[in-house]
Amino acid sequence: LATSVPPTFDLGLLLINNPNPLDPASTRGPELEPYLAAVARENAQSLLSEIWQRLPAERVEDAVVAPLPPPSTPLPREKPPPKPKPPSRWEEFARLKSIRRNKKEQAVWDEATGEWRPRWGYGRADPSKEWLLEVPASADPNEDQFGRLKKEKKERVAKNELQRLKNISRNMRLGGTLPALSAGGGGATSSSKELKRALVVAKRSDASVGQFSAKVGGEKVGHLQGRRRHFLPNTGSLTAERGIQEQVLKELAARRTDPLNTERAVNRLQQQREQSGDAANAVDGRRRPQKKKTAGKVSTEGGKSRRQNARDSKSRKYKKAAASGRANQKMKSLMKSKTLGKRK
Amino acid sequence: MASNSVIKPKTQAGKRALARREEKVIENTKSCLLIRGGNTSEAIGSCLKDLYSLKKPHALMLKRRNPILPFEEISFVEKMSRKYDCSLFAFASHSKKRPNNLVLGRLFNYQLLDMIEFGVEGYQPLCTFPVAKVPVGTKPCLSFQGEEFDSDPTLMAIKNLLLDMFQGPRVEKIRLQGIEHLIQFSYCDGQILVRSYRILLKSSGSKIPRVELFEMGPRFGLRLRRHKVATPEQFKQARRQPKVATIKKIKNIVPDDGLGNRLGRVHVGRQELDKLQTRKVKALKRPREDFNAADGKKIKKRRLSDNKKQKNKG
Repeated sequence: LATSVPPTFDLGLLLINNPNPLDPASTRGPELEPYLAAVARENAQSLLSEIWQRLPAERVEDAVVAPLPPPSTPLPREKPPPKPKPPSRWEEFARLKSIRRNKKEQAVWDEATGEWRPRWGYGRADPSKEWLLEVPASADPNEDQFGRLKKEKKERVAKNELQRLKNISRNMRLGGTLPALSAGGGGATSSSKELKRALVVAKRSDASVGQFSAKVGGEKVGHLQGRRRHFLPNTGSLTAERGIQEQVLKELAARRTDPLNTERAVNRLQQQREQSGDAANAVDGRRRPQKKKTAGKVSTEGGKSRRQNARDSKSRKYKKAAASGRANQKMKSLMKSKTLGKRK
Repeated sequence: MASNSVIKPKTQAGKRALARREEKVIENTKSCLLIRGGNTSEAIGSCLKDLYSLKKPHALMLKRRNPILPFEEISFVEKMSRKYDCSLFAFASHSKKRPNNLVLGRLFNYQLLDMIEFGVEGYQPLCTFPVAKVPVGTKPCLSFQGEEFDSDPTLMAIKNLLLDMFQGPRVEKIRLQGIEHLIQFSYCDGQILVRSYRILLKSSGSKIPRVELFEMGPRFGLRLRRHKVATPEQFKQARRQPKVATIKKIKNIVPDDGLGNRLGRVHVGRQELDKLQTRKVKALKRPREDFNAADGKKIKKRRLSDNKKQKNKG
């Protein structure tokens, strides 16, 4: 097992990297396992020699122990490192006024029982557990003192809870992390601006560009960017609608330099002539609507020919396009022509 | 932090559980979540169980079958990782197209970092090797044989993942006699051969012991199929270490009061001064009048041995 390249170590992980390739001859057949074992033994020996030589051995009780160095191979963490907590309102105030915390003794002298009692926890002198309460001079004699104490305690607890929640919300606002809004994961977007932006992006990421998304409280819905389909209202002025339709047809007409597809007509005519073969079936100069069946054309049994189907669908299309009666007539007149190739 | 959450834990156990899960400077040992897919063959199911044995106690095996496809929809794994606080996972499945499939992966902040799919070949379970196994929780030695682990980018990623998976607990000190386990990964003909050995340290002529290996299993080869590796930016973010590791505050002790003095408060209970146990000074024991006896002589000192002699006599 000639090692041409010396192995490298990462003692923090008890790792040995041996960059030498395995001997291809030894890795075949039954010799594989003994060969691998031999290679492993060499590696283990090198690693242990390295450990014994490099690391200082200490004695802890009855075991020989060596301190491991930190690992040199970079490995990812499990979670991001903790962010420092921003100080609470009280902590800020205390810092400004340089108020320091006084460490309180755990035991407090309890006058009533005449002994030392813990300040908190088990065995403390709890006023709520008192069997007797003095009515203070300033208080209403009919007032329930026990109830008053309970109420005050509840208020104190509620106030403390409120302060705690306020601090949390402040922390979140200033530098805390909100749940990730992007599928890409990670990325702390905490400011309200970023949140608004994320909302806008999320809304316009659907087919209707957020038109029908529920409005979030306090959200100002502006102009919807990227609206793809504009639908006019169904009700409204009829003349306006008519005008729009006419405009469409005008544009169509203007675009059509040759209302009759000359080439196509000629080809079809020729086909017809070839198929029929006699003058009786010669097409007269008039171009008929495409619904006309050509004679002599052998179609499939019972069914329409493919070309006939195509023609039918085209005629259906033309029918659809003609919205009003006038449009229809106009279409017909467009398709008609006195002679082939002559424009109307 | 538990204090950052709106809901406060109600029990001490709950508080400890939350504290365990929170982000820390020095993290816990990574736990591995082992998941069985919709269909598993006997081999791959057994392989997963062996992996669980290797990774105990930092592993969790899900009992039920989960017909998911990690490479298509990873959300299930992410959800489970968040539930059980595991940042490594192993997913085993078997199908005609991908027989004996093993997906090893890891997560950062409960989101997928990278995962690699292997085909397990030539598997022999732990139980078939008659060698005694290492104790649970032993930190293994890792050995990577082959130049490709340092040159080929995919194999470098695989090596990093395998390191993370098998490194065991992070320790500051290691008992030298406790180095008992070696896992060897060798690259050969497109396969990563995984062999696991028990180390026996025998005395040699020098201070450094001689190593003897006994294969304790499991034994398998991994053939790379698909992979989804983290981008360098994601990896960089995942590796970001905290700048300064906070010094653990020891209660009651001020390490330095500014003048180099280490101060602390010693809590002594209530003392009854006349019943204190001090060092025995015999001169202070007797009352002073003894010295000036009626006859002016010193009172004879009695030794303990005298008492014994008297006892024996009597």
